Amino acid sequence: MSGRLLPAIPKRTLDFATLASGATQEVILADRVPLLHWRELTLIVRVHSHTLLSSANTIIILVYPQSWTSEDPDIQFVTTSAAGGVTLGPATPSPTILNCPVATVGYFSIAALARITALASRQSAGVMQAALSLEFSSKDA
Amino acid sequence: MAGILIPILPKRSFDFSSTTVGTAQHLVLVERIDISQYIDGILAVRVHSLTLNGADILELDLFGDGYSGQDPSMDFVTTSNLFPDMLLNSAPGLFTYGGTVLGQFVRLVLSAFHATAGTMSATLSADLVLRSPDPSR
Repeated sequence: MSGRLLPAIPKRTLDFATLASGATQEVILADRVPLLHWRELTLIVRVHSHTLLSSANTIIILVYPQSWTSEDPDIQFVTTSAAGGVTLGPATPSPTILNCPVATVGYFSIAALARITALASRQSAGVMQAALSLEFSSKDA
Repeated sequence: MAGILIPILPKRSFDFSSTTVGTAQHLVLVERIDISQYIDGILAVRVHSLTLNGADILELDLFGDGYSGQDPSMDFVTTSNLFPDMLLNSAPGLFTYGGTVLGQFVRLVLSAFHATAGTMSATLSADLVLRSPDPSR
């Protein structure tokens, strides 16, 4: 049994201040993250700080299985459902750490690559910023 | 670290338009894929393009393959697929599914049920990811 900590995204500030009320926006944080070897994966999100004040404003960090082929390099092959994700809201402490398992078996499980996105949803006005860093805890048990 | 990626199906187009409506067709695409050294398997199926009508069904599955040199002409295959069914129903798209892989060999089978008259075609490619806890693999 062995494990490893895989850095995915260094500390980064996400600012959705200009997102309109009632709107959502999904941005790609990392593409083609190699996760081929691991039988067990946990997404670790470090929340350095955030300003999610309104109860209806959230930022969801999602991990999608992804694939790429040189036979059709223009097509972005990403599953429609995520293999894992965590939600930040006003009740999320700051600083804190959020964990979630990432599926490596079953439907929508990670094969070789992953895409990490941040899905922001705004329902009311206010600042909407979060400083995050992401890692994967990986084990081949 | 103990995983491998096998590109088991290069990009290929399939056309089931001329099959009889109401019938299923099963195509064995790859045989004797050696999974004996691995515990988990994940199929990553890329649907490059797809034309389905009504209740047409398209699936790509792994079945246990019991090839034996003692009787090489016999076709030993499990009656059910290894992983739960995954309908390939949108394009372009990626479908990943998998679980524990038991036995020595598996085969890749494309199943098409032509339910509604009209064009039924797909362009697919697929990888098989195999994982083991043994770091020497």
